[in-house]
Amino acid sequence: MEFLAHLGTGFGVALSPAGLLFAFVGALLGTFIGVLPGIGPTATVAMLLPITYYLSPTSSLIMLAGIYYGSQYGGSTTAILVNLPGEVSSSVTVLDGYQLARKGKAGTALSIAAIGSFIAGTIATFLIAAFALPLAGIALKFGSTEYFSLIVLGFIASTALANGSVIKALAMIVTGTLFGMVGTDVETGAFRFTYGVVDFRDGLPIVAVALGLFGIVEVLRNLETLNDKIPETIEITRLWPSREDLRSSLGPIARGTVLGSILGILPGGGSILSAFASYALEKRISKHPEEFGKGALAGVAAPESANNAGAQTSFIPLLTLGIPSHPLMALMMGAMIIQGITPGPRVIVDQPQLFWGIIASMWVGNAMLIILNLPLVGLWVKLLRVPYVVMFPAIVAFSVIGVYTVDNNVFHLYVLAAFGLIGYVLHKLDCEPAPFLLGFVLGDLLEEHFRRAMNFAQGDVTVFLRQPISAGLLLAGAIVLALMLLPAITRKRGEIFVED
Amino acid sequence: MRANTKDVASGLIFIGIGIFFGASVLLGGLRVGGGSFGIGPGLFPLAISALLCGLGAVIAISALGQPVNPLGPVAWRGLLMVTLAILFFAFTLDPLGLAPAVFGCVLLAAASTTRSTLKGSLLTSLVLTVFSVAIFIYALGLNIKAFGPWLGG
Repeated sequence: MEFLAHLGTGFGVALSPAGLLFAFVGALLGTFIGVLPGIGPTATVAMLLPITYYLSPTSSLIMLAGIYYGSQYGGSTTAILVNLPGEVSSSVTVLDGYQLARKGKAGTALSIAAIGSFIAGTIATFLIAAFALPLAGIALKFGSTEYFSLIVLGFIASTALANGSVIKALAMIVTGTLFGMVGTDVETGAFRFTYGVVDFRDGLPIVAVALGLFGIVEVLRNLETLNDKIPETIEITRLWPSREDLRSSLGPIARGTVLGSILGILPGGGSILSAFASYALEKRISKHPEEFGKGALAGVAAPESANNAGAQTSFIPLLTLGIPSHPLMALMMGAMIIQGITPGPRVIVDQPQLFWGIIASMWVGNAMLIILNLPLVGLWVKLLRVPYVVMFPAIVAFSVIGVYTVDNNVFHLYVLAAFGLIGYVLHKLDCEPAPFLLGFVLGDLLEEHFRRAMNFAQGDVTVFLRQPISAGLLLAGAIVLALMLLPAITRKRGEIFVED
Repeated sequence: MRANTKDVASGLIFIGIGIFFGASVLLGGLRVGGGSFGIGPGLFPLAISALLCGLGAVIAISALGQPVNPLGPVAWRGLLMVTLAILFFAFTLDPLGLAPAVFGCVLLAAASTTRSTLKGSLLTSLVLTVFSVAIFIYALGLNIKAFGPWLGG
């Protein structure tokens, strides 16, 4: 129960005026972009990353984390009231949430979604606190050999859990790794892939790459099928759920929380997979599977709890191992590096205030979110009246300003434009940008650990198989890869992500 | 012959990227060997490039015989105007300053769709310009001028 004492330290930070302020700003912004379709948390965090130069490390990470889990709350509002997912992770909530709303139970669906998210958020906060110390303890014993194999396993697992073709996701990771190698080689100082361009020597800027792939591409995708019809929203009659609805939702909320928490930790997991998987689970074990898609409350309670739990537990790999599990965590890693913090197991030891402060603030943020989202839901719905023709030029404007201010360097803007184009072409070819960004961020780390391990083993490649932990991690990776290529599993993966 | 053209195209693109980076290592004079224990700065990129070529080949070949996958609508106008908007901002920020750069950038981006009206776009541009100058220059104190040297700033 050592972690309870640490949580005490954390609440000291989270409940300080600055802690409260930035948790509130993050939760508010998160709800805002969560409600609005067409802008996701990854693009938002990328846009705001430069601003975090001006904040303290704790404040900036509290705020960025708030944006992520806040968007999970906001996304459900749009899903239930307008039949549009405000976020990708609420695309399953649409199925039953909107049907409930049409039956006059919009308020029930909204409050169950919020209550489920809150319960999931609370439990996930404690899970992170409980697992952080032991995991970081293990990670501190890892050498470069183990880290190399861990990253390889992470890459493979993230493709297995991603939506779409496994092999294309692998190719995207490898491509990201190659682009990540542009710049100066840390060990020898040699310029790689710079082609005589001075600006290339510092490598491709992550904010510009991420905003191109996620922000600009999102804008272009929405422009494909733009309609300026203001969505019709369903009126809310009664906000609080009946006692019976609440009681019947507790099971789905609990299962969603557990499943979401587990899937959130895995590489590539996070909130999206958690929501899809928990919906599939509820449908399978329900006594009335035929109700799903026609307004089953469990079809809202479970995925909404799962996506919030998954959003929060996906911080575990970054905070304890220093390895981001999905693009948004890669940006959080960027935010930490900007502040001079090396993500990894040492953070918990060297900066307990920061570490436990972020975790405690997640609970504080969740408490704020339930207030922000339930009584104020009418206010958020009004946001949907903002037409997209006004919104998307604003996204472009904030993207260019954000990218420029990273380094006050116009070169970053060319990178933004280039990756907007590249990302759009890849999107049209059904190649997901998420694995690219993971490869881009982790490629350097992979190479560094490879070389260090080789130095340590005096150039003997078999070291990765001779060290037991490393061999075990690689074996796990091989098994996952082999399983993914089995036809039966390929079909199952398809089923989980099919939205029917 | 039937084929999933999207997958064939992406496979070929991956092979192209792999060849490009691989060739850059070999022709650009990056040492593959040497260094400590035979690992030069070129070894890792070369290995990864080769892997990418292999993956690309598998993707392209396994797409043969698969059903055709339609491309769907392409936002050509958006692609052009959004790129122009970013480049306009890049070229004008230093000489003209933040205010004109944001104004033009928003106006160009808004022209991505026929659904925006000139009046509406001008209004959006004006509001966003005032907003960004207020936030980024006055509130955050970024080291950018609202009006650059060409405009007497």
